[in-house]
Amino acid sequence: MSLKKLIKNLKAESRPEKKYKKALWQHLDHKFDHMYPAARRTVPRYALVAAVVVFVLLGVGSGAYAYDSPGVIEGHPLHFIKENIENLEGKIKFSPEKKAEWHLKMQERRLQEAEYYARKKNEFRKQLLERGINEMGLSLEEMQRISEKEQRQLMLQHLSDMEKAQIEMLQKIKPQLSQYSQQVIEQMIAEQTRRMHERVGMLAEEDQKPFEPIRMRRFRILPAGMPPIEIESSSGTIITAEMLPPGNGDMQIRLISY
Amino acid sequence: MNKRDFKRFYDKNFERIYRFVYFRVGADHELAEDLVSEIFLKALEKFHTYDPKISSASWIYTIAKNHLANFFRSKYFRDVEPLEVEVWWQDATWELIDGERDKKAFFKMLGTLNEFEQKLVTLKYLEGYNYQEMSEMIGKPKVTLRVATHRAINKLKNLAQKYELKEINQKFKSRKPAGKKI
Repeated sequence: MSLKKLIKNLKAESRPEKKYKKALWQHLDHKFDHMYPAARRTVPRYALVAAVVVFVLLGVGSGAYAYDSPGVIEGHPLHFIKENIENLEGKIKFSPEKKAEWHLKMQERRLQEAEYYARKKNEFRKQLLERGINEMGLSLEEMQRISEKEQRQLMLQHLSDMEKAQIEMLQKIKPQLSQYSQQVIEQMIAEQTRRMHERVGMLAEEDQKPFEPIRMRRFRILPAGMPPIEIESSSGTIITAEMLPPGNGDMQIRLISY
Repeated sequence: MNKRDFKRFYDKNFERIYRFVYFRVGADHELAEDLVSEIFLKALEKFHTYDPKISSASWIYTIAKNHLANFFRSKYFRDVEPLEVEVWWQDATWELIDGERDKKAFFKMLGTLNEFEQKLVTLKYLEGYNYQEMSEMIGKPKVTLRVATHRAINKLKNLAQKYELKEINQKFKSRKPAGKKI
């Protein structure tokens, strides 16, 4: 045997076991903490950084998955993340327009979830549809607070599109489900349509009202029979009106245009 | 001082100190493990005095050498000095190895070198120190040690060649002559 090979064999034979090295280090590590408590660091810096990175990545990853996936509904381990993100999203909407939009978005998401379960697992989740309908109601409430008529009309259009989509979706998934579920869906469609018409009708009535409450900024009393004058309302609307002869002692103004 | 420094120190020296002890206790892994544990515990106790700028490897080497001398003194012999531990295996340890003939022959060949050369060969080739660390331990310039180690290993190579020739001859002699077929 050559000298080189002999030395190599001796070195291999005299190599300590990895298990022993690890065990001895654990013992020394423990002793070190007792002997030098000041130098003790519970978590090494690099390990802390790595843990934070992993935690953030996992958090972001699972958050993104939970938010995007229609399969994450109540009872799913990641549902709380989805719910928190949605709630947070709602909290940063302040104007009635944005809030109404957000409620519509939530309605759409609930519909997607209901559709996903009906298609993938042949399960009818009535709760999801109810929550979607509830969101639609909340959206309508917010729409009533929108002062601009055009904006409100646009939102209403969006809402009715959503409603159509919802009814279409329900019609599509109906054949895949049990008879009982089909009956429930039919009832829901009927109820939803009724409520929808009621509310939209209410809004339409409001839109047809000729006057919004006006506080006059400038007001001049003109004798009856004088030509019409322009008056600027508090909201900046210019209205043209004329004075009428007083009846029962009250002053009367007739609106010509606004 | 922090734990990371000690861990680095441990990783760097663990295997070398283990080998240093292993070859001097008759290639007994269990005994070597006990002694190495004690050596590193001692090192941990005194670690606040350790300065890697002054000595990167010789500090723990000295602890190991003294600990081994104390061990031999208490267990088997009375008059063992730390310096003797450095080449202790030449007289006793290798005889304890129930190994193959090759290993015994190696230690026998190593025994033919002088103490300084034996120390150089073991430090460099068995325990794995570099010339800088050897220079710190022995207190001689790196170049001197490199030349001396080179000479020592060449001597060993020559001896090994002779040993191999002897082995071949023995095999040749022990072979039975082929009989003629009638």
